[in-house]
Amino acid sequence: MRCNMNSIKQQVKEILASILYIDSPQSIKDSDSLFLDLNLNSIDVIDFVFELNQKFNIELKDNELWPIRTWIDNPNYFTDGKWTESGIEAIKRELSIQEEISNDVSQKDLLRYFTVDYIANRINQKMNG
Amino acid sequence: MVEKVLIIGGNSDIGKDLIQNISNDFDIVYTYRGNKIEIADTKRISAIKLDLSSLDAVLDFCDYIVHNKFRHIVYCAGHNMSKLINQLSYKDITDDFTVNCLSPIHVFRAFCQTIHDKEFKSIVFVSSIAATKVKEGNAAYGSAKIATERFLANCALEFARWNLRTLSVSPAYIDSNMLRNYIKNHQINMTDILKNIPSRKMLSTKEVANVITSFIMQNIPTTGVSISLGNGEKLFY
Repeated sequence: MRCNMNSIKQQVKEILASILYIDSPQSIKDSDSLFLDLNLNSIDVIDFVFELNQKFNIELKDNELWPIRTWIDNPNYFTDGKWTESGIEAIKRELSIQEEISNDVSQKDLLRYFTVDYIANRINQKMNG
Repeated sequence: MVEKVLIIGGNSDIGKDLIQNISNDFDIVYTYRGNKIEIADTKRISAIKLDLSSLDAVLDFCDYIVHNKFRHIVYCAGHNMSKLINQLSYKDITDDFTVNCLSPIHVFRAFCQTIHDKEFKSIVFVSSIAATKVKEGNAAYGSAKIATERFLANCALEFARWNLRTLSVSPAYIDSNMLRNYIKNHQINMTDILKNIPSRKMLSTKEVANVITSFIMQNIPTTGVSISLGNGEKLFY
């Protein structure tokens, strides 16, 4: 199934609206953080991933959608409470961050990058291998 | 397609009655420890030997659960040393907690891993009303059963959107082999037990199985709860 980015974003917003009881998908911005702005919780994430997989016919796991939690357990990426160079590099690459980020950036601070834009990119990557 | 039900402890009194109740509606796999029951190994009922006090065996069995699409799981097994705390050995505690808590929790977790659709599915755990009471000789058994009930309530919370429903069934005195052994081992007089039951009769295993059957058949709309079954025993107050 081929989709352009706008179509993916629209479908992601529709799923979010349905899970979070948001009246209009159009009220969700591409830059909205799912956790910080839309108040998605951990059970919602599992439901969200389930619906994404159904809608886009992909096989995405919840820790693939937001890999930060697994990176924290990887000593190559995170050690002594700080991100390593490889960790920072992975974060910037995967979350498409242009600006510099500190090696003590918290998981919570990174949640502002967990946006509709980010999700659409992940789906696009998954769909196109 | 005929749906599959897994009954852990299917050769127990309740499990056996449950198999009879639902064998026309589901394919059934049950586990047993001692001898197989007579209705085993028919076209739609199969049996697997499993020692629930061996966590290694249970973890191997969990792989089997993950690779099979069960729609419902019922855990009927139990183990009660019924000893005072200062008489409990390491093995007594380990056995009570393995059969009543660790094994069911691993089984339920394995089942939850297989949930990939939003069709109705269920987990039923047979607990005991005695588990909810502070009662001499009940420390290990009761705390293990209660821990599992709480785990199951959390399964209900986390998987409600996938239409998983869970139920712990806590019967009071049941006319069962387990009770008869208990009475024999503790030299208790049956009439002393009956005196505590206002209706002067115990639950039958069939009555408990009927409640489980109703839940599986979606006739009891609830999830994440424990329901007590009894005939008005003082245990409830």
